[in-house]
Amino acid sequence: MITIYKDKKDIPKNIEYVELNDVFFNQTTVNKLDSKAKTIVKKIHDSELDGKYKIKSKFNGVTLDVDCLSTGCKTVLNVKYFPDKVFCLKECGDNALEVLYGLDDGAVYSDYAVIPFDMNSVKVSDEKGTRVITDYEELKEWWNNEK
Amino acid sequence: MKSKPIVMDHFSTIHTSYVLDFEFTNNITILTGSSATGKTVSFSFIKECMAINPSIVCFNYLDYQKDIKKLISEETGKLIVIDNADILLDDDTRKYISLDDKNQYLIIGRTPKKSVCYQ
Repeated sequence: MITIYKDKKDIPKNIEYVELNDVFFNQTTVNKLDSKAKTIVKKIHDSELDGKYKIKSKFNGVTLDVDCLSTGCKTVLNVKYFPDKVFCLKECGDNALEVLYGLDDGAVYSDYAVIPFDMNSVKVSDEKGTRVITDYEELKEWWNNEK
Repeated sequence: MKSKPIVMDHFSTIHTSYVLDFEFTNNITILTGSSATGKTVSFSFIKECMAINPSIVCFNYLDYQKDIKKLISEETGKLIVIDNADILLDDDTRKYISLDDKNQYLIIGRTPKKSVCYQ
């Protein structure tokens, strides 16, 4: 399950935080894409990943560079392929969030609540430590509590 | 209180087979939605219009290192279009935008209305 931070100071010093998901994806994650990415792109974009660097758009079937993926989709792929880093969660739409919350591993940060309606269990990490939350309302409450 | 658009109440452009058509009813317009629904591509079509329309100013994540509040405070009579607003706008800039009566705004993001109040 993914780990969520709500305060940047709670992110361990030895773990890199990435705010600009577009840049990180375009420069780094793109080189690691494989069949696992196909499923994610299909779920979020309803588009086909065509090799490493192209997607077939759902709108008119035109082939686009993979840098045209949405920031939300790029965020999910960043988290998927780099579970040892923490990525900014703020630009994920609801469809990307649902996929993100279902990942086996990875870490994200936002200082305000960003939760899909159908959420899975997540780990939350703050100054008190790390614990598992399985309920939407409980997660919202954790996020909204004073830091 | 909401205010009427002070720069333009209509914006339309064509990019190849795509048509973008906005009717603005407020001075600040928030464009939000799920991932992969065309928000950023709409931004790119508007940004293209900067080449021929001096009333348009665009910002996105490529401007992350810049002082956005300073840049927009130097503008007058512009439609200021901001993509990636969730990471680009801090609370101070959002407050400035909510009180700015010199420019009009189209703000794009997931929850860009956080801390932005209509005039």
